[in-house]
Amino acid sequence: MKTKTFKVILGLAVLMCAFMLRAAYTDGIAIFAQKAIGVVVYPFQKVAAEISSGVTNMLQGYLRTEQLQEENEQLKEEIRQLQDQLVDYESIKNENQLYQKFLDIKEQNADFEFCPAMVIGRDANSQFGSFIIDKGTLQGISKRDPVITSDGLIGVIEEVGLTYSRVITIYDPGLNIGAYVSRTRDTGIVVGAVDLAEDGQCKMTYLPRDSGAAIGDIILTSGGNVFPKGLKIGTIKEIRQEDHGVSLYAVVEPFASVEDAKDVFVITSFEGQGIMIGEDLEQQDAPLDEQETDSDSGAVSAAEPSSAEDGQ
Amino acid sequence: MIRKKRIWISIKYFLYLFILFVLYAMQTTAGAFSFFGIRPIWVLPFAVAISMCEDVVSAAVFGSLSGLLCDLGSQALFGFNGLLVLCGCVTISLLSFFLIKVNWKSALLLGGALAAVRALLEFFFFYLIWGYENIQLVFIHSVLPMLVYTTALMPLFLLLVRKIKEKCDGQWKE
Repeated sequence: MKTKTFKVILGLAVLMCAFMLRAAYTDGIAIFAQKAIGVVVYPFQKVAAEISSGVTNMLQGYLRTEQLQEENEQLKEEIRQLQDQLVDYESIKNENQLYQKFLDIKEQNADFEFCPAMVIGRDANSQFGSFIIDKGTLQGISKRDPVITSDGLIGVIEEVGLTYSRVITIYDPGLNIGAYVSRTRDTGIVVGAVDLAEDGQCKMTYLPRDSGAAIGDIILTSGGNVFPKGLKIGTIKEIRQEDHGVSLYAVVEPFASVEDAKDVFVITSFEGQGIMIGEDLEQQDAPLDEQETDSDSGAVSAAEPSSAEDGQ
Repeated sequence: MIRKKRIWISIKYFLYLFILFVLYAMQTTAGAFSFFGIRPIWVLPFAVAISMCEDVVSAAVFGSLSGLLCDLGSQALFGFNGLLVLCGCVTISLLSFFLIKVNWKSALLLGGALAAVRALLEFFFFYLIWGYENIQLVFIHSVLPMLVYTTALMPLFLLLVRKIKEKCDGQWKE
């Protein structure tokens, strides 16, 4: 029995020596026994590695809670910053698009000085779309400065504060704008009307009975000391006869959408702004009705007849 | 009776073999039971425990297998640890059979001795004779802690092997 045991031990020892010799001979290339043992233990190693990985992750999850919380806070802060950047980006993008549109106007009218503004409030009581912008006297805005969008004239500054201004729109019956039909050169006054304002329209009054103005004609400002010449107002939608029958009026659909206006430009300065000619000075003292009959006037506020505007 | 004995002996050795492979997997799994980067040689104390509790042939077989597993995951020549642990386990088995009482103290002593011989020989062949600089750092920071860690596991495995042996042998001895 002991002899048999000794033989087994001796056999194993010889086998080990053989493995060593073979391994030395193959110089690093796995021998069959290595491969065989490797195949047997592989599933164990695989399972152990997966368990180890799972346990490690789980433990790390618990051990690193504090670190993860800190990391989470950092990431949240980063998200906040990125969101702020995104808001800035969108704002700048919109501004850029707006400026591009106004650049065309500026190029066409080199004498214009603009002040960009944002609509920050709308007058809930106003039937004519009056709104408030975020710029005032600090930004060089004065009462009666024209307000435009990239589409065309939208209104005029009615009230100005340090950092805000109130704008009355072209729907307002209190605002008279000297205008002309671009094709026929017929002049008139664009003024708001209660019944038309509801449909987003205004009217051009005092068109001569023999006017050749037709539907689709474009209306532009005739110029004066309130509005520069050539600002787009809108298109003629319809020609009607005045109640008194002396003249015609045109229903005008403005190019600029008062309801959708978000970013506007205030024309703070242009050539001829504020210059009153003798005729106008005379008109200042004249009654309002007389002023309104003068189709060449730039703009007249019915509320303030003393500040009547000039002719062309 | 003989059939039952064979079955339970087979179950016992199959269990030893299974545990040995599991321990090898633990030994080679990165980060498993690692303290300050030091990992023990799991299969060695298990082979020593089998040697102390089983006969000399079992000691030789499990010793050589444990050694070969050590070779599989190390830079040693395949068979080096196989031969070394085979000799060590046979010696321990004979000592346990003829001279030494089997308990946790002797397990610490014998297991520690075999682990030390193996570690020193490996250190000698793979580091010392090559004349590397500052190799004492390897010995102090790697070889010695690993030796202590491995030796410390001895009583645990002795208890495990004893339990398995008692359970399995008890089934057919009844």
